[in-house]
Amino acid sequence: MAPAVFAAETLNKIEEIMARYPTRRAAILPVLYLAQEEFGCVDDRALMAASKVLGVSKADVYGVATYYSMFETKPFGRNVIHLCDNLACSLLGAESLQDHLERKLEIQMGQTTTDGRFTLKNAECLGACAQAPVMLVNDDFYEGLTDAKIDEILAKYE
Amino acid sequence: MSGNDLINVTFNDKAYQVPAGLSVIQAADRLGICIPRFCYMEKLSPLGGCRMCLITVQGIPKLQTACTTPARDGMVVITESEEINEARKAMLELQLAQHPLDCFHCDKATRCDLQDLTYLFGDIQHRYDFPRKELETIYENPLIERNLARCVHCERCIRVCEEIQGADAISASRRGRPTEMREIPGGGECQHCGHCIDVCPVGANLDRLFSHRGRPFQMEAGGSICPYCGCGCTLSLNTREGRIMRVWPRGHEGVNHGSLCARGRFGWGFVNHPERLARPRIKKNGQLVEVDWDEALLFVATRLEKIIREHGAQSVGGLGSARATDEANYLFQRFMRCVVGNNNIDSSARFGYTAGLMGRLGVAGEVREATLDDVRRAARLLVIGADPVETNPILGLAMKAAIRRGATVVVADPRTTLTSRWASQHLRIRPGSEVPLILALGGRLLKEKELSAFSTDNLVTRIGLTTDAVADLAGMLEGEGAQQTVVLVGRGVTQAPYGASAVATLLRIVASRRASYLLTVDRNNERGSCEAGVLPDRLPGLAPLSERERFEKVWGQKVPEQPGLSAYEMLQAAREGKLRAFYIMGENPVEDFPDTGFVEQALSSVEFIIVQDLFMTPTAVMADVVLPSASFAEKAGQFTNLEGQVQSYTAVIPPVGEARPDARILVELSRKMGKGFPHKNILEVREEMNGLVPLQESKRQLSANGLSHTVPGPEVQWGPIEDSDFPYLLLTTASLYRNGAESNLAVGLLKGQEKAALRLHPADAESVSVSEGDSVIVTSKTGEIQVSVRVDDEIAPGTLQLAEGFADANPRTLLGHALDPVTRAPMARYVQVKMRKI
Amino acid sequence: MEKILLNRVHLKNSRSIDVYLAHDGYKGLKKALGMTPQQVVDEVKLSNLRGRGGAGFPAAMKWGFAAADPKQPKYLLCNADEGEPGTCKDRQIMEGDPHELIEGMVIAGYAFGAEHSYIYLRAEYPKVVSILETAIAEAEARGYLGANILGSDFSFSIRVHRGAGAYICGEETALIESLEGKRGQSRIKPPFPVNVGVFGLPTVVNNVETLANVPHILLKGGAWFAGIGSPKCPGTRIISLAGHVNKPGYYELPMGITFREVIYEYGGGIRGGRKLKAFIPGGASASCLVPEHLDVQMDYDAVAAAGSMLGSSAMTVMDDTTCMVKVAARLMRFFVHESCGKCTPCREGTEWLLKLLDRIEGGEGKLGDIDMLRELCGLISGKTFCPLGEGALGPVQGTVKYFEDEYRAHIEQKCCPLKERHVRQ
Ligand SMILES: Cc1cc2nc3c(=O)[nH]c(=O)nc-3n(C[C@H](O)[C@H](O)[C@H](O)COP(=O)(O)O)c2cc1C
Ligand code: SF4
Ligand code: FES
Repeated sequence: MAPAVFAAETLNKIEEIMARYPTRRAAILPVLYLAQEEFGCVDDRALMAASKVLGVSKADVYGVATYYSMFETKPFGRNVIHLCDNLACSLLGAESLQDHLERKLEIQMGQTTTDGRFTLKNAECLGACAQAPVMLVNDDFYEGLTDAKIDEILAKYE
Repeated sequence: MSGNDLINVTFNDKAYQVPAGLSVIQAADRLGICIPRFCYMEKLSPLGGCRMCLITVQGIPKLQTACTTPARDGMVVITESEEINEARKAMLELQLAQHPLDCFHCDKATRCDLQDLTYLFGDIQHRYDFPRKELETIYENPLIERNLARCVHCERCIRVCEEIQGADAISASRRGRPTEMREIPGGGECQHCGHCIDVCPVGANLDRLFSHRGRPFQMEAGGSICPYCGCGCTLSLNTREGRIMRVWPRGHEGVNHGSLCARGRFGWGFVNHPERLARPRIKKNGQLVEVDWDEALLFVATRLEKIIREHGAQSVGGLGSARATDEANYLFQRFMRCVVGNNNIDSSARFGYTAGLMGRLGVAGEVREATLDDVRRAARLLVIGADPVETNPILGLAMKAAIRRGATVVVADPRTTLTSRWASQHLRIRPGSEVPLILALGGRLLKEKELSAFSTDNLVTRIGLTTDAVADLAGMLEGEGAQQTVVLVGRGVTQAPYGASAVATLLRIVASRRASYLLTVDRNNERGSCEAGVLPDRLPGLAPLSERERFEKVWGQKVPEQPGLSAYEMLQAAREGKLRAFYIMGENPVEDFPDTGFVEQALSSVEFIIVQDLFMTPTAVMADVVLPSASFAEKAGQFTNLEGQVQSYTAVIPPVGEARPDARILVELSRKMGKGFPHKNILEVREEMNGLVPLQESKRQLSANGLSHTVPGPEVQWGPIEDSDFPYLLLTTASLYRNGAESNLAVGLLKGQEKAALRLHPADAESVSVSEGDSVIVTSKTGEIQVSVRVDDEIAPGTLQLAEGFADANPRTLLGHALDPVTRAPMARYVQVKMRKI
Repeated sequence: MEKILLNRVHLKNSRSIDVYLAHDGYKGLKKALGMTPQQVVDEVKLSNLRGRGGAGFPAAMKWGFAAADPKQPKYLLCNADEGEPGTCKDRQIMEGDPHELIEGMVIAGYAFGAEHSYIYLRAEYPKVVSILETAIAEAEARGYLGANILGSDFSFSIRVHRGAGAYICGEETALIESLEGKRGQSRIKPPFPVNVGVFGLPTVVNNVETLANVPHILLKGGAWFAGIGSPKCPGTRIISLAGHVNKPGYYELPMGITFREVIYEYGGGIRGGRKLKAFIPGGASASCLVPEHLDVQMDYDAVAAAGSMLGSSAMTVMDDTTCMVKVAARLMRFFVHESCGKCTPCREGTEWLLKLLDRIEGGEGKLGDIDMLRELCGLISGKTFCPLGEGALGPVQGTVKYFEDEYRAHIEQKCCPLKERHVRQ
């Protein structure tokens, strides 16, 4: 098992982030984002590493990490698709898009493709209701989706 | 607004006055007005989550929660009405919606707030008609089971773990309905205080040792005092049919304010252990065989009398016990002094409290001794050579409470301990530097010529600090604030060479700055045994032997004039063949005294050994007579805790087999020896003792004296001398899970931590090519042990840390027994060792 | 009607500080720095600017409370958590005109004496992080932000803090907890954030849209602003219009306009010429309204009188193919997902409600289920710790009130009675 510490480079970044707050603990969300990136998910090692740099108990880090939807405690795919299925998107066909995605990727909501390329997740409202239906792939927004558009978009991700 | 201002509040049309600054629920509680609750608890920060405490405040249309609403002057509160009842019933219906309703086999049944409140409201509807949550019991913790489906989400367990215990072992994970109160994956943070079991209003956190051993109403509860460390926590022993089933604190009573540590709560297993000695044994043809009491006592009497006759009274030694009651120790010293006729009396307090006591006796006049409450309120804590969190966990909690109120804590210790992790500053001094550090502080603060040499840069460097750091430390004892400073001193000081001199110096500083001090005390009755007269040069109440006439009058027996031998002096004498008989009451020197090889050798030269104990300890194995004594739960008596509080308790269950209380054994033995004590019961012993030692007598003796202690010169070798054959320095520590031989026979503590672990720095692990969990052989000049390692990057490189008390790897085997010139106790906090992988 | 907040977003490079400066940018700040902080507060008071985060609390009053607290330093937190389903107004400002927000924040900070501020940005807007950070760097480089702003004694910093996906963190005290690195759950009040806020210090939490109005008020005067739209709640609002309309989008409109105008004029009417069935006037927690309410004016009081709330002014429009039980269930699923779990009624009640709704929608409802929905709302209402739990009742209460027949039909026919549905099973 790799040691539960951040790479030196990440540590520098963390120091920089911590300087933005009057307490170390306030940096917990940014640190968890970095931990998720570095360890692949917020697993036991990531928790330990975060707990150590933050000076916050493991229990507190765990409590925080599991509270927020953005953190995963299990490894996930290289690309994460967040398909919004809240009301506005749902009114305009999000659920048939979900069927399409599940069929195409051969996985169910919440799962990861066997090649680790995609993880499919539902999202609560993504704040783009006027362009519904929408999805977020990693950091990119896609609006006014159709089955065909989705096929095009997925092709862009390795 | 001052603390005692009163405000007017109206509850249900009646006017009351309550202190300002309370919440409505606190005010109601003080007035005896019942407001139901799940999440609120006086000792925890308010949460306001369960919504059971809804009340009406005049002028506010919505119902308010009593636990989060401050009581204000002129406030008009209604705690019961149709609307309120309906609201509370709604909360119960919602709580019960998904609850598994498995009360039939829940250990909490009949003592459950959810049951009680449901019963109280009577007509709660149950309209939820979906499948309920399946009962899911989590057994990740060896001692505590968690039943998540029963949880009412009051978060008391989380808050108590964080706010009082400071362990942060449990957290609320996830969000909303799926929220779970449980240990984080991997666990390992739980210190097994079990407080989460007590505060849980339902059966979500339960004691695994208790599991299905009886319904709460089948339990009898008896108050007692914890037999482990010097805190002296109040316990409630839950028993059934004469056996202990579980242990609780007694509400908020006692020095522990409702908290316990792992030992107090889960360490009772030795009491009904199958290996408890049930009948006396005497050695016949090299075998210890069971006999009845009469035969055993007659045998002891005859042999002792013969030895005294043939070799003189001086040929008998006696060890009273740092774990026995005040009364038993009092009778023991009277037995040694009056029946045997010498002052050869000591106990294992010699390695702890006695040195502190001698230090204290070196200061004339008043020195303020802190209580646990003083520690809770302290603004600054200076901890030298002590690890209260593990040695005296409730003192540790008091320290944490102070920290939560903003106290600064500086820990000077070469080790990494649970205490040092809480420190605002951990001064990692060089091993063996506790004494010169104190003398250096003395040099700064006392302005005495003989101490001035200690504040030189050179010496300070040898301590491992900078002059500035020592100045900062001295600063904690300066100025107005010093009165709010408490100095905690532990065995790092008292077991060091010239420890008593250092304590004396420190206490002179403390006295001059009107600060206060407290000694950590490892064994429950070290202080009581000393104050009961188990010392070779002090009578009960710490009276010097010169005051013996007062005692002789009451006892009607002579007290020898010559001071006796201390523990190691007796062992030394034994090895030289000068000690023919040894009476050991409730001590286990073969395991518990430093340099176990030496101890064993010494004892094997003794002709006649009497051991009085609960178990066939390695010491008992060497005895000629073994007398089974009653455990704390089976007898009455009193213990004196580390603050000097005398606490009495009574028997809760009958003794195992034919075991007898120590005091009774001593009385009967005295009679067999023709110098019978008159006492018919323990109360008569206590009365006689209290008559001789009036209240505060020990304190008076403490300040009356003023022994003069030699202050060593700076040229003394502090700390170890390097030795390339033994390149590592092993530092001994304390463990939450062990405290004496009994703790190794308590199933709960074995579950808490099964085996000893040698903690070392990753680099040192690498240098002998071991990793976590591997075993090593550790060898010193005196002995060898095998132990598995735990790699910890917070341990100082080159040092190893090993806790005392684990039967499987006993560091005392490795220690030497060079005696301190002042206290005549072995200086035994560290030893040079080598280590190899197996 | 002239736009105020979104009057620059259509410009080329609208995010750049040069474009901003070329169009009145930072003039409000310059003016403010020439006034005393109290005068700035007074000007905003005159404007009667009310919070756009949902509660409509007067901005100047909040600033005044924080200014009066002697503790230092003080914090300004910009609430950019925008999590209310249907809402996407703040994003328009941050993406299209970030300097408008920055300028508003600096002025607000000056007004009540804050030195530091954070923009608590919802996790789902990852791109906005760099947009804001670029703008902050530009503003710092030009002296509009940082130490001694425009040569004055006033220094002010802004940091972007990205949330991590929890709707409740939009509630101001939960936001504060979250920013402190804790599980974002609402705090016990009192004390209020203006006295004991983030890191225990006086803190003002303002919505993005609220703050973006501030430069305009300073530049053109409080009286000017007070004269726009409805007198009780002057100014414009950015309405997010979504659902079955022909032209969904963001419309900055003066308060007091009717829903009919919004849906039929700006939104271009219902898609495919269908009939309007219902609309949600102000985010997921707002109870839905029906065609008879089309002439209700968009202002806090009028919408409340109609039995709903204006909230974040996110409108979702539904045509006659929409199954209202499904709508209620979908929104309830959101609240179940977002309930923080602290208080009994919200934690237990929302899940129970969802189970009932799912059962009815799935054709397995029982006759008593409709009453049970109502009674359950009664058990929860008025007893939750924070407004989230109360808000969760909106979707049920509205749909049960106006579409009880549809609920009954689900139960009686054991399936959805709608032949043609947009919202699939
Ligand atoms: C459950 C809940 C969610 C909220 N979410 C948001 C939000 O996403 N954005 C926001 O500005 N205010 C939100 N609020 C309102 C805030 O608590 C707060 O009133 C607001 O940020 C104050 O800013 P304002 O005075 O400028 O409106 C929410 C409130 C509640 C109870
Ligand atoms: S209403 Fe209660 S459970 Fe729901 S979000 Fe607020 S505090 Fe949390
Ligand atoms: S006791 Fe007040 S809300 Fe739980």
